[in-house]
Amino acid sequence: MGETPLVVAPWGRDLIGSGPSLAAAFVTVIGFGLLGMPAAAVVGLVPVAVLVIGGPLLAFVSGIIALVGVGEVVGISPVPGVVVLASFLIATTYDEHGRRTAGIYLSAVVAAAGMFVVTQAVFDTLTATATLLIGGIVFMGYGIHRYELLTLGLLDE
Amino acid sequence: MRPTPRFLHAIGTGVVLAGVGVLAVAPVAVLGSVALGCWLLVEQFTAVREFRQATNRLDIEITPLRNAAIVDESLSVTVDATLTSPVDSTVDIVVPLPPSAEHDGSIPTLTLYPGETTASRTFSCSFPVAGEFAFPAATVTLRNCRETVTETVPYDPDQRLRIDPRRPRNLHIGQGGERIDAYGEHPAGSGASGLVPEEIRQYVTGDALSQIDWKATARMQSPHIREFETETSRETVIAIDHRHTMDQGPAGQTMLDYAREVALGYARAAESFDDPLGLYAIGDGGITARRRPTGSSQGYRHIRNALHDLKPTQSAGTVTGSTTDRLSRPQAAWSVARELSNDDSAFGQAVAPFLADTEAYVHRVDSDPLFQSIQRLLTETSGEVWLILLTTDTGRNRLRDIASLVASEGGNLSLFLTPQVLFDTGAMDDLTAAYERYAAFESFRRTVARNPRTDVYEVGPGDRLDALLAARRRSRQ
Repeated sequence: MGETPLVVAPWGRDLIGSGPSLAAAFVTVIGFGLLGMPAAAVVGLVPVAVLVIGGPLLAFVSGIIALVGVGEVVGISPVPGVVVLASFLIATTYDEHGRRTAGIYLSAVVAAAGMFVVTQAVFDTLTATATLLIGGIVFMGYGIHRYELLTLGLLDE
Repeated sequence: MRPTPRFLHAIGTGVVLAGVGVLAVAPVAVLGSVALGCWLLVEQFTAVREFRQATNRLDIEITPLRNAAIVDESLSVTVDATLTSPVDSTVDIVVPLPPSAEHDGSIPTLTLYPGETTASRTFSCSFPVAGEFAFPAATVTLRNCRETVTETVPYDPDQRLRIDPRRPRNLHIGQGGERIDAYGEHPAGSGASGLVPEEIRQYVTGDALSQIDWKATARMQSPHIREFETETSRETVIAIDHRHTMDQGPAGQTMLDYAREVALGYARAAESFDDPLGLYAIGDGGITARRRPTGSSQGYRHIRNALHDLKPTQSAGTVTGSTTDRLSRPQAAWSVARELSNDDSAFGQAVAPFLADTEAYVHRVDSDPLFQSIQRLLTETSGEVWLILLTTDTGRNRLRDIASLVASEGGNLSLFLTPQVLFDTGAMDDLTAAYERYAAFESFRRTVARNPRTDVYEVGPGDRLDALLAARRRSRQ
């Protein structure tokens, strides 16, 4: 099996016809419309279009970029906006791993959003918030890696 | 866990988002980066679950067509990979061969794609050297369903393979031309169990039919069985002679090859009876390999490997030097001793006692590496050792001495001799002379066998011996 082309989410094309992905597209457009001004629904069409071209991961990233650009203009707050966009990632997780894992991911996103709000309130600087949250994710990623070595018996001790 | 380019691209995207968010003070970008990070964590977590599932369900079997082959023989090996139920991961299996194996083409690999449960591959390999080889651990590479991370785990197939050297054919073990069934009519290790024939007795109800000795039955006119000695509490020591004198005969069928075959048969039999087994290999310079009696499977394996590795040693040269020659004659030694007794020099006083108190014969015997080694063996092994000595019939006086020595020490001796007449090139040209040589050997064999607790057997190519005996019968008619 050859390595796939160097794009972030080429497998997303296969998910366009899937129910969860369509639901994510619907949630994004409607959600943006409800969160902001009616024009926000049009912004929601950007990630939907990228979903068709590049898959859910690129759709999510494009949605973030759109929010960075015109989020404030169309009246979408950062936290609800990102949670709505995360529906693309929830959809693809649901497709690949099932409902339980998708639920875990949704919980993780909601928890991260909550921590973001709390950390922002405490430190009042985005740099500290970013360092704390991303540092926590890196630490947990390393923990999972060690746990994997342990469960597969790959540790010497 | 190793990230694939996909995983790294996702990480890169998250890092860019975080960077843009911090620099542009855009909380939505930082939060997007965090959401992406959470997604990667979930990917990692599900990959761990998938990998654990796959390793628990995976079974790899490496099945050679035979568990034993001979050197340079092409051997077909089948690798079967089985999952008890389908998994989401892709499983790549690389089966490395033992270092000494030769194999045409690339290293065998198998792939189980998601949903598949079996994969199989057959390949051929050969081994240029003899010994026991274990297949190294297979390398199993797991890729999660989204191919974001991979992991490599070893899988020990626990498969061993024995490669034997080219074996002599028509192995004959017997007494006076009559074959003994212990390891006579079949290659060592593949025959019936039993260490050494003990006695022939009349058949009684309940005895196994396979135990009937048909030759004895024919002689006695009633069914007789041959019983085999299978004592397990006694230490057995194989002493195999691999001096240059054992290098007679065509390649692959030398005296040493025949002796090795018998020794391997005993090694396998001892293992099957859990008898402690030791090994002494004796070359021209004395003991070359020593394995103390052991009952462990690893010990048996070491002994078999040591037997496979034996090669005839180089002659140490004839014992030269006028002094040695002179001292080998008792009268000359005493003469020198007398001369030295009048020598007041430090040299004379130091050497004289050795000559005065020692007989030359003893010197000569002691200088024989076989005798010397057996002496040492008896010293090093405790109790009533059962010695299986495999050698040739050169140096018959030494062999008589060895048999007497073992008997005097209370040991049991099974002496396997490779008669020179059966290995000499051209000996069969004159069958009458050859038979006379064989008769002389047989007479010697019986003489040695008179020692207490001593059995003496002949070992050699059965076809040559049969030809010799058949020619004798024809000449009598």
